[in-house]
Amino acid sequence: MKNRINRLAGGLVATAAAGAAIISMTTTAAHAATTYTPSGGPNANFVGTNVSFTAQPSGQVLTCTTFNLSGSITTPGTSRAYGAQAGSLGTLSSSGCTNPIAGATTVTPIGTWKVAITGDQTAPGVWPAKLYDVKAYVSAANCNFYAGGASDTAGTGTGTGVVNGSFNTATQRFTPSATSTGLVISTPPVGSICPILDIYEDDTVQVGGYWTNTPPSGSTALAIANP
Amino acid sequence: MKATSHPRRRLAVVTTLAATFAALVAGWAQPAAHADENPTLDTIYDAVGSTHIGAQVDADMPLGPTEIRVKLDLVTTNIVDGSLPIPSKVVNFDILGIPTRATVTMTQVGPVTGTITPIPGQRGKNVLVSKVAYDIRLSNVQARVFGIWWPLAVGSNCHTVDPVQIEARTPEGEYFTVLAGGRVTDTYTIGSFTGCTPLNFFDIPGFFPTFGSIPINALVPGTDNTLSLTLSNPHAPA
Repeated sequence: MKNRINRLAGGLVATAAAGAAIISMTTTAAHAATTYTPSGGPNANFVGTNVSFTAQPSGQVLTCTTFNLSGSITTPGTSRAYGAQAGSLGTLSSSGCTNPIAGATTVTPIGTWKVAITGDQTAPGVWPAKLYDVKAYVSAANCNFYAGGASDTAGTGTGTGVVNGSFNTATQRFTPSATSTGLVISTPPVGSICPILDIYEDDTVQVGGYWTNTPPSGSTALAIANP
Repeated sequence: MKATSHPRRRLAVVTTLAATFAALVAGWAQPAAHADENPTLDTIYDAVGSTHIGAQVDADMPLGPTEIRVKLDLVTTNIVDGSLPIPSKVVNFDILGIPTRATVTMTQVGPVTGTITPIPGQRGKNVLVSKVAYDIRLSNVQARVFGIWWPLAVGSNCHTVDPVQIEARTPEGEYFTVLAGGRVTDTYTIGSFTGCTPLNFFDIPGFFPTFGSIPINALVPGTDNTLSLTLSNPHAPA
């Protein structure tokens, strides 16, 4: 009887150990990496295609024929934590921005925008990524405001915003997520027409279109690897 | 010497007066010119609707489809200019039970003006008020007797004495948005007509313009005319 109990206890212990091992393996898989290494460059040139900015909930949309971001890969070949800077894009240019009602408008990107990988790849070669330190000055139909981080209470447009999306290493394409909410109208819009256009501070600005990294001469495509 | 100096002096006085007058005119003109410097936005909306002509006509007339073009002052948010052409339509109605039809031509007189005013506490929702006047002209009036349409000549110059003033606004409980548009309505007055030849006369321009307008004035003028127009699909001019 005692032996039988011992054998049963031994079996339970073995089963529990096996279960713990499986759980441990599963946990290890879920936390596959916390760091990533960008390589390539040294320079990057993200060329915008059908880049648009839509204020919500008004639905007012600005579409730009040209919206390019160029700069450099930050210390390629060096591992860093997810969310840490992978690239610095300090040369920003936009033109041909229009609104269906207002016609020609201006969207002036400001500062140095940055790019980072934020997590494990979700499909082969597809990495969650973000554009951050995003700021722009928008002037449409005499309604003027900054787009950037949530509620710039100082009204100076100093806050910067975030555009979440994904980066595909095969196509070199950064595509903003339709559900990203990190970019907002960060200052009180100036202009008596703004309320009529339904433009208000703190409205979310959704970014459409995509940017394709077209490495300039002497640079190579951006690659991402773990760790 | 004196004979030659006087004309010069007179010329100098005239020149000075002219210069002063020009300066005054320029001075008066400046505020108006300054007012025109506000930035404006030209926008076009598709417009379609109908009007009900009351009085003895008691008939509906389609309005459009057409376009309303507005120039919006971006500082005052007033509509400072615009147009709303209404295509001519044939309106069917009855005179003493006799089927009748007429071509109605509405010619815009003066610009479209108005205001867009946000509704307090309801973001994005506005009240649109648009004012525009039309000369209304009737032509090709015909009555159907024994199955045949008989012309009832009203002439080529049968129109309202004064332009019809329309002030169409967003109805109570509704709203206008810049992106989606909205509906505007009005109840307006059609005044007397002039220049119409007698209904049973042939078209002789200028013949009995007042006498000939009596039958039309017995049928058409009235205060119970209504209008409903829906604006949609805003877009910038090409």
